[in-house]
Amino acid sequence: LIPGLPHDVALQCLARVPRVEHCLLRAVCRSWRWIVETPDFVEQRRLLGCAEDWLYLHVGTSSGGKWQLVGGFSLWHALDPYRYKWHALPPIPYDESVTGGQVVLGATSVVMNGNLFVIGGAPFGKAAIRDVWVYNPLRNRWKRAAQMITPRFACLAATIKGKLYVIGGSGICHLTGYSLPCLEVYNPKTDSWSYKASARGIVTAHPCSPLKYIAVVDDKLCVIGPQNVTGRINAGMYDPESDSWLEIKPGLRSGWGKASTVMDGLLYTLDFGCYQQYVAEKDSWLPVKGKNADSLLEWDPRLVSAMAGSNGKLYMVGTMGPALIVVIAPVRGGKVNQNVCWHTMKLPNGVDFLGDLGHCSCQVITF
Amino acid sequence: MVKVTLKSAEGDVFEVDEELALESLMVKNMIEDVGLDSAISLPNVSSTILAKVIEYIKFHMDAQKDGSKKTSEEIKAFDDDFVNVGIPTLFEMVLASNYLNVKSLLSLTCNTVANMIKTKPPAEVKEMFTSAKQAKA
Repeated sequence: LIPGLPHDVALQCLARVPRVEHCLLRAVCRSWRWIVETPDFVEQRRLLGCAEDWLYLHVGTSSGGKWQLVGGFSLWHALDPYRYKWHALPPIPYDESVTGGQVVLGATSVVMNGNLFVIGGAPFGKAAIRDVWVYNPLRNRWKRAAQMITPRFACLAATIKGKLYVIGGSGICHLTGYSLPCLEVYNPKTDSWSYKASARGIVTAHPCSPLKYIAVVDDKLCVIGPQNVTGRINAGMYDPESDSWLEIKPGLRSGWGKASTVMDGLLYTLDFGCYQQYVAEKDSWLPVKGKNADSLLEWDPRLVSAMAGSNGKLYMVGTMGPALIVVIAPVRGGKVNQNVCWHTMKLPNGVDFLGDLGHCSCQVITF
Repeated sequence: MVKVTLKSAEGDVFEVDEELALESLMVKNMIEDVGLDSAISLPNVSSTILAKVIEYIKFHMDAQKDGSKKTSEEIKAFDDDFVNVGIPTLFEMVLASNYLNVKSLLSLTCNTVANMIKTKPPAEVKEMFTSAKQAKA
């Protein structure tokens, strides 16, 4: 790798180069280009403690019940939250025959095996698509994965034990569409989708009440919708082991704030201006305590857009006037153990307006 | 204070405190295996580099001692100055600290290499390392 240094030592040198410079490493020579794409490199960075978190964001606004992408935000962006730097990802190479050359809205994202999966969506006012695209952050490249069986707009997705589960979403581009009760699973080993037990009857496919939250608790899939006309909350829990739907615990039915995420096996949400953690033994949400954990209290929780977490850090993305806010809370074992940091991010080039975020996909990938 | 004798590639003999020698995990293992009676030979480390490594460990051991008046700026200044050498010497120090298994020095020297890489355009990085190789050959 470096003339005069053995492979393992050279790897240690290269692994210390910050993530923002990795594109330079790739440009130096073929062996460097190859090494930064290997799992060894990722592992070495983790061992040396120099792995960095980057947020991957796709942002849209909703006005008058319509979906819109914020100008310039038609691309996915990576955000380096510590250096305040944006990096535009290459555009997803959708087939023009599918999208008619239009921007795809309402795609769902999830991280699996260090890759970003972008699932479904629809061009404005059109039928939903079945496309699944996988972004490899090491290669900075999009790759097509097998298409879903069902086209879905604004569906929910989560991973359990290396498999990707997708439920809900509607067949066309509409914010208040119904939710498809059919559940399908993606196996990356075989690059194929298959149907699993449908949530029909458990999750009522009532128009105007699409499923809202998804989380993996105790290796089971929880899906939560809003209240239906009878005042009952649409909710169910899917057990992949037995391929069946179970009643969801009463404590999990409610208490979900505007955004939620699972980190290190624990479920977090932001409600009443404070981080809440779901405690399974008590079947209830408890506030996350610790150093200035209540610093969010004065902030309007309606402005929260998305949460994500990785390696003991909870990230929350929201808006404050025209600015994008990223709040970083170091959380371990249900406690904030260091100061909560607020960052106001300058918007990336070409993005000038940010109102209420109607739709915000946010994921963290660490390496 | 128990002394340890280290022998460089050229056969030069360095006598150091045991406490200092134990900072090198490799030397520590050797002492545990063969004891302190004979000199520990380090055929992969030249005299100049070994002297530098000893200087580095000594400075940091003194700096860590209670009652040391060295500020973190002074320590940083020493480190910066210590690695402010040509690429061939820097590489020899990387190799020596890897071989001797001195974690702090390995991390300092590797970081220096990483800093050299990240501040330069790719073509310059390539040239820097290939010319270093030619200079050595």
